[in-house]
Order: sequence, then C-alpha cells, then structure tokens
Amino acid sequence: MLRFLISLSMVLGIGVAIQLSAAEKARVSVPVATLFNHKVHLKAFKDKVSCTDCHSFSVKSDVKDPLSAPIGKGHLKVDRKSCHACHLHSLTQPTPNQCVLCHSDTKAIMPDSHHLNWNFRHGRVAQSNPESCKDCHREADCNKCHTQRDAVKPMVHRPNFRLTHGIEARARPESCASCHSTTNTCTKCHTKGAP
Amino acid sequence: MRALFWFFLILLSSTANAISSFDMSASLGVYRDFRERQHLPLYYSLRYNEIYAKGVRTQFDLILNNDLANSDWEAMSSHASVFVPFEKGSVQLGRQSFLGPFDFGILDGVQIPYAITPTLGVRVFGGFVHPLDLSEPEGTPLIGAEVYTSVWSTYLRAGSAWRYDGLSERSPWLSASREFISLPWSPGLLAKLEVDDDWSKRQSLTELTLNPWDGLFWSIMYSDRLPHKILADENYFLYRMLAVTPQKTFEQSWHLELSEWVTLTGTLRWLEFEPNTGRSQTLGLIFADDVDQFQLPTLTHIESYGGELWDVGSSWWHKLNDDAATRVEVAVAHFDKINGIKGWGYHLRGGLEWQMARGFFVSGIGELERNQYFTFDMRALVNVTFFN
Repeated sequence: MLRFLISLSMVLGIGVAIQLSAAEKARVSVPVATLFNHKVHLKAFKDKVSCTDCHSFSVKSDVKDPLSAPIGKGHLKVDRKSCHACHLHSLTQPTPNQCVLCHSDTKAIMPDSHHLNWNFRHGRVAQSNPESCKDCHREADCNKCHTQRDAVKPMVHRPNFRLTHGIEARARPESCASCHSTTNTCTKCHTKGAP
Repeated sequence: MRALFWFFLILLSSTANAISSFDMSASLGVYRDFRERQHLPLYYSLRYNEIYAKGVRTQFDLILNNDLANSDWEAMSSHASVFVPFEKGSVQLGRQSFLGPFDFGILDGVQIPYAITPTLGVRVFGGFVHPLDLSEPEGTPLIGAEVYTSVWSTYLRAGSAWRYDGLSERSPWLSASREFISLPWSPGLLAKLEVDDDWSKRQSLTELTLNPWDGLFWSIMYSDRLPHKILADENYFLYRMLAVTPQKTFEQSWHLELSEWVTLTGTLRWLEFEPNTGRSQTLGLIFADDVDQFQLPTLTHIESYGGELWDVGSSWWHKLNDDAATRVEVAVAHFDKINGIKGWGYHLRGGLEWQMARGFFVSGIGELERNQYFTFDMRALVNVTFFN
C-alpha cells in the first residue's frame, strides 16, 4: 500500500510538474524589464500614444494611512493586454517575430484546439468564429499556407501528390473542389496526355 | 488585370511614414515528365505589407510562374487590398480573402465588418468572387450580409449571399459553436447548415470535440457536403466529375500526449458518395522539444475507386542555434491505381532557415522527387522575409 501511494504521488508529482512546466513556458521567457525598451517605445509613440494608454494610475496603495506611501513603481506596470493591444492589433501586424519578442515558446501560448488535427480542422473553426483567430493571426497568415505555392514547408498537399492525387481526389472529391476549378487544374495536364 | 491594377495603385501610393514588411521567394526547378520532356519551372512570389497611422494597412502579393523550357508564363495576384479601420468596424477594399460558411475564396470587392455591440456584429460584402486557384479571371458577382453574435457563450452566425451567374441564386446559412468547459470532458460543439433557394438542405457539418483528460483531445465529425454555390459554378463541375451525390464524411481524430515531448496523433475517415466510397487513415508519432521535432514515420492509407495508396513519411526539424534551424522530410509512397498503373514514388526535401538580423530571415531549400512518371523532379528555393 505504501509503495502504491509513493508511486501514485510520484505520478501526480510528474503530472503536476509537467503542468507547471507548460504554464511556466507560456509566460515571458525573461523579465519584461529586460525585454522592453522604454526609450524606443517613447520615440515611436511620440504625439500618438500617451502614458495612460499603457499605464493605469487607478491602483491605490495598500498602506492604510492618511499619508499613504506613494504608489510603488510595481503598481504602474502594464499587463499583457497593453502589449497585445499594439503588437497584435492596431499598430502592428502579428508577424512571427511579434510573439517571440516576449514568448520563448510560442507553442505554449497556442490554444488547446490547435493541437488536434489542426491542419484539417482549422477551416471549420475559422468559418464559424473568425473573430477568435484575429487575437493572434491576420489575413497574411492565411495566405502563407493557402496561396503561397512555394513554401519552405508545404502545408496543403502531401509529398508525391502530383503522382498520387488521383486516388485522393476519388476518396474526397469535395477537398479538391474547395480550392480548384476545372479549367486549369485538371485540363492543364490531362488534356496533354497525362495518365 | 484587375489585381495588377490594385497592386500598382497600392505600390505607388505608399509613403515613407509606413511600417513595411515583405516576404519574397524564388525557386527554380528541373523535371522530366512522362514524355521525357524537360521542364524548367521558375517561380517568384512577393508579399508586401504596409501599416500607416491609425491602423490603415495595405497588403498585396504578386506571383510569377514560368516554365522556361516551354515559355509558359503566368502572373497573378491573390491579394491587393487596403484595410481602413474606423470606430467599431473596418473597410477592406480590393482583392482579399473571403470566408464563407463552408468555403474559402478570393473576393474582388469590399467587406465591411461592424461591431454593433461587443457581442453583436454584422458583415456586409460585395464584389466578384473567385476560387482560390484564381483560374476564373472574371469571377462571379456576389453580394451578401451576415450577422454574428455571442449569446450565453454560444457563437452564432447567420447570413445569406446572392450570387448572379445568369440566374440569381440565394444561399442562406446558420452556424453555432459552444464549448462546455465546466462539464466533464469539456465537450465542444460546432454545427452549421446551408440551404438552397427552396430551403432544402444543401450541406451541413457537425463536430464534437472532447478533452477526457489533460493531454488527450478527441474529435468526432459528420458532414454532408456539396461544393458551394458562393464560389464559381465550375467548382461544382469539378466535383461532379468525381461524384454525383453529396459527400458524406465521418471522421475521428485524436491527439494523445504520451509525455511532455511525445505525441501520438491519428485520423480515421469514412466517406460515402455515388458512385463509390472512400477511406483514409493516418497514424503518426511526434517527438518535440525546444531543439528538435521529429515526426516519426507517419503512416497514411487512402483507398477509393481510383485505387489505393500507402504512404510512409517522416520529418525532422532541428534548431541549430537561436538564429538558424534546419528541416528535412522524406516520404515513400506505393500506389495502385484503377487503370492498372502501380509503382513507387520517392520524395526528399531539406532546407535551412536563418535569421540574419532582427526581422530579416533567409531560407533555402531543395526538393527531389522520383517516380515512374515524373522521373526526375528537382527544385531549389530561396526565400527572403523582412518584418518591421
């Protein structure tokens, strides 16, 4: 019984350790003070963004004294929403190096839905709720896979597809028609004698 | 031509006050086809984005394709648009992606989403719609609207589009999705439906996702699909070459994290349509940590009235240092087609990605395929990306 409890606690400990590890990875890799360059941001924000756009002065001191200590510098720090408001939304596009500015492991910040057969499933999720994609992605991200034909990592067709597509087309005809029409796609090769 | 017009308009109107980024790639290949003819495909693509004050953005891309040996040129642009945000909404004008309830195409026109409240919005769109391969240069006139809202954590969308291709056709649709995180196994439900002019069902999809425990994700999907009328009628024609009834699909997928670094994935799919049925199965094992990602031999089997395919593939991504990574993939396929042609196909692809400076990436890759028809197919690609 004791051995069982020890084994169980080890398993739970490992499970918890894994969870902590994932949560830790999702946070920024180094202190924001190290990553963030205030001077660069002030220069870029000149006449466009004010201090209170990022820093909230509504936090009160915890010291219960009529002459409360001044609000500590730590109370003025921004949370991730302030960073995301610019880096993912209005001022810049969420290009790959926007996320890695702070997050060393981008996989840890992916929603759980992205882990499950996402290559096939993302389309139906995007069609039902495209606003949820916009937290991290822009239209250029769709283009990267769907319209770029010479990518470093092909995302649409499998290897040897030119040779084997006939079998897959007859297994899932709807998958071809979702992107292609007949005029160029089939006749371009098959009218020239391709088997 | 329309897209090239938008491309030059945006290029010429860009100013020094914009934040720019571009992504450019070029590739050259050589292959011999089934008639032993030499081909030298040359491919070039450019994607250019600019951001101006107040969040105004432009985006365009240009693709040039040429088979040098046969002087066969092709030029196209899949995006050339201007995005102008205003309070609670935006206007996107030009050539852009278009997301329908079941489809994804290219629209030459305008889309205007507007958030009436934080949980209620509307999107209106109009223009000429093309399939994704842009094989229909003129496009089909399309106009429509859609309402979306979030009620009790359920996302609802309903809309309708009118397409004119000699005759006016209407396609209303409705979709709903919700996650029940507090319930056991955290089920998620997605359902969508599209109807014809006479309100009979045209196509539908229902999916259930489950998370029985941390690390195991499971989805079950059933769909009844008929390519959509929003896109060009020719897509339906392509479908009709292969099937004469709607395609019913039952699919199961799972993702099981065996440990922090090892994941098992699988997909089973059964398909039914006239004149025949289809089946596909995929099983893969992935090892991934911060430095390496191995996709250990992934087995794929596809069976249809067109034949049978067995494919074994593997890939390896390795982080060389903070600025560089390399990727290699290999695949071997055995096919047995209905016309009696059977054989083996081999695929090898490898490359290197390197961040030369902050926001400046260069990559190079080579690909080799060999099989009895495309007896020798080799390509080399160079990609340059700059993000500001």
